[in-house]
Amino acid sequence: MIDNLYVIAIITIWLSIFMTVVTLSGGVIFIFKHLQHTNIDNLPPLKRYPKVTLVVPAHNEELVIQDTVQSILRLNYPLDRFELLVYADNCNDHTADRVRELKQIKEFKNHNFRVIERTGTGGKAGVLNDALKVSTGEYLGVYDADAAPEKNALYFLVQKVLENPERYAAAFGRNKTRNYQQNFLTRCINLEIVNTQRIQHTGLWQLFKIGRIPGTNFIINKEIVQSIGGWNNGALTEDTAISFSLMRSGKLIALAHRAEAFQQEPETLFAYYNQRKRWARGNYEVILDNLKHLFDRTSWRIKLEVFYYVCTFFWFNAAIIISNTIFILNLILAGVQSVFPQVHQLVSLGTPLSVLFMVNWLMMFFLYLLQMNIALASDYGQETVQNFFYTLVSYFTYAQLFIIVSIAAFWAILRDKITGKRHTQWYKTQRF
Amino acid sequence: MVLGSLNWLFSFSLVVTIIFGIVIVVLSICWWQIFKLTIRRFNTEDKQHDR
Repeated sequence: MIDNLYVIAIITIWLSIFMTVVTLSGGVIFIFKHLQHTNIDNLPPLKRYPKVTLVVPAHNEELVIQDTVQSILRLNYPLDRFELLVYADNCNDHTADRVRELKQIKEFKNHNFRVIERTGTGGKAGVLNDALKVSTGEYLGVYDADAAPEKNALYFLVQKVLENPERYAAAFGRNKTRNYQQNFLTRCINLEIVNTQRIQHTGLWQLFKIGRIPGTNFIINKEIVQSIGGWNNGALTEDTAISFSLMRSGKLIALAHRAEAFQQEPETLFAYYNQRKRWARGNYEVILDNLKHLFDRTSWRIKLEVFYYVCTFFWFNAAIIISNTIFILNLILAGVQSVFPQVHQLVSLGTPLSVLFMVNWLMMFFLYLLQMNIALASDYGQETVQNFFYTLVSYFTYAQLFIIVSIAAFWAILRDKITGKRHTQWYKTQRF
Repeated sequence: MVLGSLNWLFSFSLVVTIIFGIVIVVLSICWWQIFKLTIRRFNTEDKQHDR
């Protein structure tokens, strides 16, 4: 029994180290290849400027909508080649009025933008499907209501898809945290986002040409979306769902690493918990839907993606929970042993196996620090002493929140399966 | 924990651990290189911006 556990445990640790090393190596190669400076004040003209319909789904976003719309209207892209549709989706605040106020500003008089007050269902996916019907662009671009793009973001997204328009169905950029200095939570979220954008995305693109639509700051070929049936109405993570659909149709989602947008992240644990629980639950649903593709003739990219998600959300999560349980039990037994010497611990420290496990854990921890710091070093102004200490602390605090969130999401799915009802509501991320 | 019949696996684990260790050392050198190059680039950009 203990032999089998040992084999399973060591394989799990090695697999997680191997996956991290592979992605990190891809990320490092990408960083070295793209270290040269881009003069953003003097960008060459594009081969052509396809018309783009930019869509902003907004549900009660009066606090942030004006900043986002203004940033979009100031994009470095010919005015007659893009239109902006702001969907005030089931709003009971002044989101639509805030957008209309911008119409009165002289600077935006000649811009092609309008606000559509929507009362339909389907959430964000429903909005995007509605936009598909009325848009006039060749590409559809999406920005969340809190995501203000940098002025060349659209230029870089279009430049990327034009590199191979037949193969690249979509291009996605990078998102940065604009409120990261608010508190400990936002600083940790910032570390996570920098790591995801600078290592995960670049590594997977560099090595496997795998990209995932991030929900905001991306453009997508309208015809291709229509051909795969649009967005999955009511999906909790419509971005992951459509990423899988695109890859199944043999298309690629290209990384345009210079297209940047600044978005607001949750500032309270409550807002964070609800947002991440929705994401985790949405991802579980997409994984379960796509699990069958591990064993059929679908593209190897789908298999790799499904395998990656299964490892992260199921296998490694279960392993962490079991190992934490054993660790706590061991501590309790050690306490009991001091009173009753006849009681033995589950795992005795000091044996060669325990030392080997400890070395592997230390390696994993060091790899985590290394990954974070390579990501931070490649991002302007992020590699600071303060951020280094945050990476240390976040491992034992923030990173552990994922376990709680994923257990809660898994439980919600199980409960819905057992009761046959869908209890989870689409919780709107609170703005500050 | 008793090694039992897993003696061979322990040696194998040791080899794999050492290989991972070497890869991590190489990646650490990459971090230092990236750190040096990006700091230099960001500083140059800052000076150009200040002019």
